[in-house]
Amino acid sequence: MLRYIGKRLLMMIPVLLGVMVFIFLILHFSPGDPARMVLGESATQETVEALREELGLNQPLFIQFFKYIGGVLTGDFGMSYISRAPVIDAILTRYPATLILAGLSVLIMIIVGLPIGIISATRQYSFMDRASTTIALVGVSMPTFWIGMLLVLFFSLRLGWLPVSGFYGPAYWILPAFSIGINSAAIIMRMTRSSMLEVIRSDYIRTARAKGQSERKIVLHHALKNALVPIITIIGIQLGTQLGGAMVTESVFSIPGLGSYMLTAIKSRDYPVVQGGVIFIAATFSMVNLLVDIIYAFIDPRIKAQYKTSRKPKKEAVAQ
Amino acid sequence: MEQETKLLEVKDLTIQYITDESTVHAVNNVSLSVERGKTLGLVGETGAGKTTIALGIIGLIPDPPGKVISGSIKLEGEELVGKKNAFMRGIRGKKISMIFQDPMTALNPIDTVGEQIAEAILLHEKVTVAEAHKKAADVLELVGIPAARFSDYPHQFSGGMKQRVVIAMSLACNPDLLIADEPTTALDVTIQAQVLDMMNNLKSELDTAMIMITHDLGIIAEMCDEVAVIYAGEIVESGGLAHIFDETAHPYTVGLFNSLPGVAAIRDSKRRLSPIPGLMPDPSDLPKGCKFSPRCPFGDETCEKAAQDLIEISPGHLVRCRNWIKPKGEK
Amino acid sequence: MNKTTAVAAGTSNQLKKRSQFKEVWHRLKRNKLAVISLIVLGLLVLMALFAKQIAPYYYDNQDISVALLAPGENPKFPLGTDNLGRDILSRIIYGAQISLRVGLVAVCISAGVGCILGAIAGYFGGVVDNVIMRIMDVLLAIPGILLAIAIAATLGPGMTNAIISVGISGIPAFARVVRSSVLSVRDMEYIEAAKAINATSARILLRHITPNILAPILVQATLGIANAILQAASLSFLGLGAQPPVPEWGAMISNGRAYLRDYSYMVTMPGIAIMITVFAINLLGDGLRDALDPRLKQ
Repeated sequence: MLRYIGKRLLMMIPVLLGVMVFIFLILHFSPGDPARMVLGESATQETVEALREELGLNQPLFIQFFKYIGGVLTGDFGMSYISRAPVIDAILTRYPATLILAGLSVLIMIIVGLPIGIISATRQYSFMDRASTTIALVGVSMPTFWIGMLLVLFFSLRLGWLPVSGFYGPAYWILPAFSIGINSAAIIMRMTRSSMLEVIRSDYIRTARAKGQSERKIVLHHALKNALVPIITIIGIQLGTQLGGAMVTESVFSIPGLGSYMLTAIKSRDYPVVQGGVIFIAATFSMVNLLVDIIYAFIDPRIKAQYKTSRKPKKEAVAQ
Repeated sequence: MEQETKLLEVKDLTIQYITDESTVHAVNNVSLSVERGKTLGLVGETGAGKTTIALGIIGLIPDPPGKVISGSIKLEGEELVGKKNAFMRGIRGKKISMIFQDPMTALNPIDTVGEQIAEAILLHEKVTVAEAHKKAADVLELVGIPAARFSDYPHQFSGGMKQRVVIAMSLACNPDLLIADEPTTALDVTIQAQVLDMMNNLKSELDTAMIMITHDLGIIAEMCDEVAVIYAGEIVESGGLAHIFDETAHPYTVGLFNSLPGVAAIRDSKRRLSPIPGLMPDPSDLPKGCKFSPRCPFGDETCEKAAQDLIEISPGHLVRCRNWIKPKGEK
Repeated sequence: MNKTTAVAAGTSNQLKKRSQFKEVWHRLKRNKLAVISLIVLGLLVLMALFAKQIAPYYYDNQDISVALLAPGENPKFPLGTDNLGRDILSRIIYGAQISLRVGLVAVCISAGVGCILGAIAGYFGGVVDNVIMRIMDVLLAIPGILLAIAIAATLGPGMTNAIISVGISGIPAFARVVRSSVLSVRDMEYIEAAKAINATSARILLRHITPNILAPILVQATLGIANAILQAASLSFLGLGAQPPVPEWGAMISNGRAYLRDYSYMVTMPGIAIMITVFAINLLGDGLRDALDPRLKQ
């Protein structure tokens, strides 16, 4: 099992390297001159050129890239073109807010989406099932930034219960977390429902019934545990989507997280910030995926056996 | 003095699957009985209704769309039809157990086999978890699996071993009746023989009555005391083993025997297979009159017009046919 | 015997041979929700195609004297006007054109490139498969919306670039779906049969594999269109997609932000338009998934 984790961690390196190449290339091929963006339209061509030299922008692309990678390996993600401060510091200060939001929405996803999905599946075609599937479908069809604004409209502007923007304490977390949580909870609910429906038709469920097991235990233990693998997969993907969509959410709620930092950087061509941000998010996403794969092993012994194949021979079925 | 020798008594059981499009008449007025410690074989082709009868007895007819329309199922004199699910849960696994056809998918992949057997025990007996585990290990040994494999998962077993685990699970609480729905159909022939052998031994050791559902006459010959032949949801012939094999009376049963290679050659010096022409009728659109008449070589207009009741042609031997085939020498 | 032939004939009459397509269409028609969604989408398409004829005003018809009217205040502007006096209903109608175009073109890009890559990877396996899937892994390591944002940032603002960005970010999903379908079909026996009669790889791919992987592709496509519309709205919201005065629904919402407190309809109306459109697409997608499922649920 540890060997499997080790292998996976190693495999992440080329992927992250690929991400770095990709983002580096597309940024440097995009129109617009960062130096010009920093100095403004009125600056003379000489000052712009001087800044370009200073920032190393005139060097051949692959030299710039290798210098960058070298820096990354030592934890140096370069300097922001605008603030001239180390990118890594700004990222580390701002990332926690983004992560808190993402984590909270995962909680909402699981607490809201999972139970409703289970109940829907066990009472298929009932009123509750049809109502919740419809509501879930609506929830999936709304852009998250719109949900956020609607929440602000009702709970902040009309009712005054919660603050409009900022990130100064738990009360500030509620609306943003729900604006991304609702969307994801709807997705989880649909996935739970469909996964449970599939599992509940299985033969081993019939066996459990023939043993005299109660419906409740059948649903919660026999069915749910077997249905969990695709559900957890989607939870992982949703977490990634939230991290990726942080720019949007943080924009709606004026949250000083990594997303809003990156958004400003994109608009002002602050390459190192964008690169650093993308790498951090991609790395986090890869770790989440690895975590999901590890959790698989704890749910399904067949998957656990697959992971161990490289180490020990799989226990052969005892011959007749 | 009351003599309740019959463990299970089914009378006029009718089960239908009712959907918006059609009503499937799966089981039509079936009556049968099983005595303590004896084995009843239910023979018939796929789709005849054998599994539905079994599910009806154990109360696992999916509702919707299935419904027990009428009839009575008495276990040791107690009526089961109409009982609430909570009551039936106490019966399932404890008094009546059922095992199904495909062992590959019958076990929960994420629990160890030992836990799955122990689960059955813990459901019906007041024992501690440790005691249940011990008993489960004993039952594993009973079916020929080393107790050490208690903590193994189903995917670590072969098909035949999985079926043994399923059998162990079903017998763990020493039920009075075991319903086996084609338990060996999915297994290799040699494994089949082993599993059937084991079932026979266990049956006599634990004095379990059994309903063996199969389409294989060879298995019937090996394992059963009484036999009922099912066609289109009805019993067309029933009786003791000797009645069915030596004094075959219903044209369908005769056809079944003639469809077997080898058996036909022995019985009637025929060398060619003579399969029964045609197909079983659509259960949502059954013919009026005798349901076998469209395919019956002896059928006539009277057969097609009026449904036939069961006739007792010799003590314990029932046939649903006007033109039943008399034993050799008579006509 | 007469009886037996009659029985045989009877059973063969019951086996009506319907082509696969007709079968799926028939099943889809029975699903009332799917039919409703088809009608709604049909209406939206009509709205998009005939926007100029249907909309009461041009989408950039500014008139400050009627600015910030609430819905219903003035019968000439049923859904109200924005801060520049433009009719919101008209802008939403024109916006349908944009959203549907985004959805369809972006999915065409994603599906076109993704299917080819996935099919090649799945069919040929080996090094080709590895290389293609590693590249997909790199793209997938960046969450979809972020990928679209990054590409849009590179290409510059504008609707066309937004479409390309969303299209590219959707490629890995299609590649994966197609690859796994091809893998599951590739080793089936009828492919071996085709190889045995010397069919070329391309022919096998086209004639034999494609019909069997159409179902997952179709389902992924409806998901893709819905996703594309939502992603494009996000891009426009961030200022990376539609530029003013283009009435893309996401851009309209962004425009209405400053007026959320007192003129919330500027935000709610375009949002409802997005919701109805994506909802209908998702409903259709669900219906398609059920209709294409060979295991008929009874």
